[in-house]
Amino acid sequence: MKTLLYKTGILGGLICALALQAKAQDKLVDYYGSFRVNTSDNRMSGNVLNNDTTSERRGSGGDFVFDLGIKIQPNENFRANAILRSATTIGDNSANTQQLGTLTQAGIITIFRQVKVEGLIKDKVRYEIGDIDVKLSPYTLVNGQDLFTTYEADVFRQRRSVLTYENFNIEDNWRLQGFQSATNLRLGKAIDKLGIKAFATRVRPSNETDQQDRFVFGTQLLADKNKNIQVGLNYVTLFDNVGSSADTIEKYANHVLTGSYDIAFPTQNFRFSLEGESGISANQYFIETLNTTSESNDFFVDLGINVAHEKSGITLETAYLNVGPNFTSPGAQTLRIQHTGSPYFFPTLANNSTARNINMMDRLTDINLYNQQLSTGLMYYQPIFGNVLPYGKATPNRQGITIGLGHQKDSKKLVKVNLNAALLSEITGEGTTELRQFTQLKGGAICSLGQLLSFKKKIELSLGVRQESTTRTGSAQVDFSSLMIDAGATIETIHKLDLLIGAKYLIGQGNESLTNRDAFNNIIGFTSYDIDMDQIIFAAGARVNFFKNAYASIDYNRFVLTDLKDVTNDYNWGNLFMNFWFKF
Amino acid sequence: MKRLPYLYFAFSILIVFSCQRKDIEQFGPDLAIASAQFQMTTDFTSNKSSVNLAVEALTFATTFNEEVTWTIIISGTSSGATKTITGTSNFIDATNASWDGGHDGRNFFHSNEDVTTLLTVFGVDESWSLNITLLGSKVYDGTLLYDFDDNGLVLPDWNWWFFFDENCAQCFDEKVKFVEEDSIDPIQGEYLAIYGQDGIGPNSFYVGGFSHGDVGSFGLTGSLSDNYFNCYLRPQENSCEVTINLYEADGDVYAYKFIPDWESWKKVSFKISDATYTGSGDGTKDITTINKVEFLLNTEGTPGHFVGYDVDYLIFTEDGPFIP
Repeated sequence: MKTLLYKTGILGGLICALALQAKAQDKLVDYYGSFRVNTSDNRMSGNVLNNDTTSERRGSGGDFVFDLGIKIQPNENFRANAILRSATTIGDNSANTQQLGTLTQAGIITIFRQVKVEGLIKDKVRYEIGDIDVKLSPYTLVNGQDLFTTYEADVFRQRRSVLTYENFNIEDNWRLQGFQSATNLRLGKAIDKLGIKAFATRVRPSNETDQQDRFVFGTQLLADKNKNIQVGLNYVTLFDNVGSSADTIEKYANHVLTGSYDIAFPTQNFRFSLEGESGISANQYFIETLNTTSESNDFFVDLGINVAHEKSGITLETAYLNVGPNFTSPGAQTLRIQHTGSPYFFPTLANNSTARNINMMDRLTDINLYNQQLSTGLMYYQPIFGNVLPYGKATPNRQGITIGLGHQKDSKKLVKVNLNAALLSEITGEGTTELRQFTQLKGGAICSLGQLLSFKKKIELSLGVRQESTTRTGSAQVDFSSLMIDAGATIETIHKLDLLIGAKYLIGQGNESLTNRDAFNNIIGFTSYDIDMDQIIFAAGARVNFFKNAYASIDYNRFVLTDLKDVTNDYNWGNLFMNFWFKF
Repeated sequence: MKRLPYLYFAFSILIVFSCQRKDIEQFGPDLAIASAQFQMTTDFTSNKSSVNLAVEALTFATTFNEEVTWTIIISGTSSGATKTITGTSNFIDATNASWDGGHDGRNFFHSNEDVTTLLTVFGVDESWSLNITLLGSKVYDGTLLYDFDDNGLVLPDWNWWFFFDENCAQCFDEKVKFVEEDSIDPIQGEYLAIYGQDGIGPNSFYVGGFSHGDVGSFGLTGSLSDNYFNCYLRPQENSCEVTINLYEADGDVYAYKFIPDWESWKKVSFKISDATYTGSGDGTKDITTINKVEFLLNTEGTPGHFVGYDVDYLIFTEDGPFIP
């Protein structure tokens, strides 16, 4: 690891030197980046620490992080782009002993955060090589949002922005390493525009002995006609490159092919559209130590009708969803967060003998719980955080109806309101022939009250609610429900000083049976999940906006976990977080 | 031409709806969750309070007033080994809850250790436990070559010996006894350790290895692709390459190389047919004449690093890899 850091440091220095030289010669070098300093103080208390003398009660953290991005553009059709990161832990004085010419010291890391070259061929074909962000459709490749954060309070959104920045969670893209290219073609009268996108990435390197290279290749064709018709074709494959290691102890191949459609029928006041996606998956996995090959094929249908009132901005949509039990799409079903991860603060309880389950606070603050790797198996999840569609739209074994009602006036950005419902059931029972029934209601509103009342100062209110229930009758009864409420306000006081307040409330009640799966995704058993639990975060803070893309903030978060089945598990977590962030 | 998108849409839908799923009513094993009226009608018991698993199995018994999904988790107090038995029924007896001493995870149960057995029922908060003493641990299927334990020899001591490159520094080998800190290690008793540092001379990657004296034939039978060589291996921090050489009586040598890119102990298994011929002998692989196993240690990546690994429980198995 140290060798790697030295190498990257030296490389970084060379790039900087070349960049400076290039600037002198061509004046085509540009710089961008970010400088962030943050500290946090964490304290835990509550019943869970009674009779516990050794588990952590306090924890603190803090980092200086400087990301220097360098864009070298020798001509308008080519650009090399690198982000060099220097980071150190606040209070690590070993950094002060840094010797001239030594790029890596204890306490300081210097690494490449991103390396990419991009360009344009013949003014038509865009390409990127290196660290690339890729996304196709919700059923083929997407890095789905964690939890229900659409109407999250500003004080939490601001905190979450650190997570998304650190984990490259940019607009539901996966950050992968490889090659990506895209172009738009004009094909005469039949098709106004044909967009073509293709990528090839490696998600796991070979160790040259028994672990093969694992690649993800994908392509998307999108044809547009008259601004009212768009049809698309998506294909993604995740596969092991047989022969890239000396021995083949496993061989995985997955293919997903989908067609998408958005066909509109505009009238004077309304815009009717038929939209959706349907497709098939094929999965094959061989594991030598088990001497077994598993094969599965399945399909999905997501077919919807959308009506939009152009003048008012009101939309109504409904869709039929049917995602097969064996529909397998690692690119769409991999979770953004690892529910089995070990939290950074207070990782163990009961005298360090029991791992602490991650909670809502960890999900909001812990960078290391976020996942960068595509998973070939369905990942474990906690139903309290979402049980109806835990793997997003591509959640297997679901069928039913979804309905959505929305209102958004983008022109004034005064009010945004949305209400969605999902009435779903399983297609095949798990452990029984009885099917689970799922209901989900979610909605929210963001209101720019200041603008509505013609105040000069910003006043923004937000409210989001999600309610879910899962039931199953028969000999394996399930009755589980959860409620999540997110409320917040942002109030501009004196010039450029915002006061932020917010609350998140999550309650989970009832019993569920979690599935235990083998390497092939087959269900091999069940684990009881029986809880009656509340999780609440209260947050209040202030933010000074120095100028565009530069702010300093301080906020205090109080997290309270109440286990109504066993009060000895109750605990509180106080968190003070200070952050200065300047992006340039 | 105008109808092309609509045809595409219709075609897409048609293709998908023409797909048919297999008619499966249920995934996974049966699941029955206890109702509010659930009762255990006879006590949870075992056939023995102390048992030698080398000669007999441990069985459990109880009855319920309704069919439920139950789980028995057996945990070794010193080994950390666990075994889970689960089922769905209104009774537990020797037909559905018999334990032969096998384990689920990495760790083996030890002889002379106490184990706890915990019975839980799906949908019931209460649990029931029993304490058992293991007088002896399971004897696994396969041809156990050596587990490096004084008390665990299956075959006579073969005079294991070590060899190192002439430039090897800090080279040592030892038969190490598990100490208390190693209590999470998989196998009871002792293991073999080899460490060293090279980086000099023409064989700068090569550190050393170990092998054993002539013991005649291992007596393996069956086809090359049905037989596996297995061992447990724990690499040290720096990256190394492990070579396992299998020698035949006629001088043929077949090698299996790998880079152990994991931490702690892990089972390594490979088919004899996957070991590659390295150029000695007549090149005809014959499993019945295999009579020697040799381990080599090389530096991986940049030579000069201090490298090493621990190894234990060398066993040949037939019809599949070693499954504890």
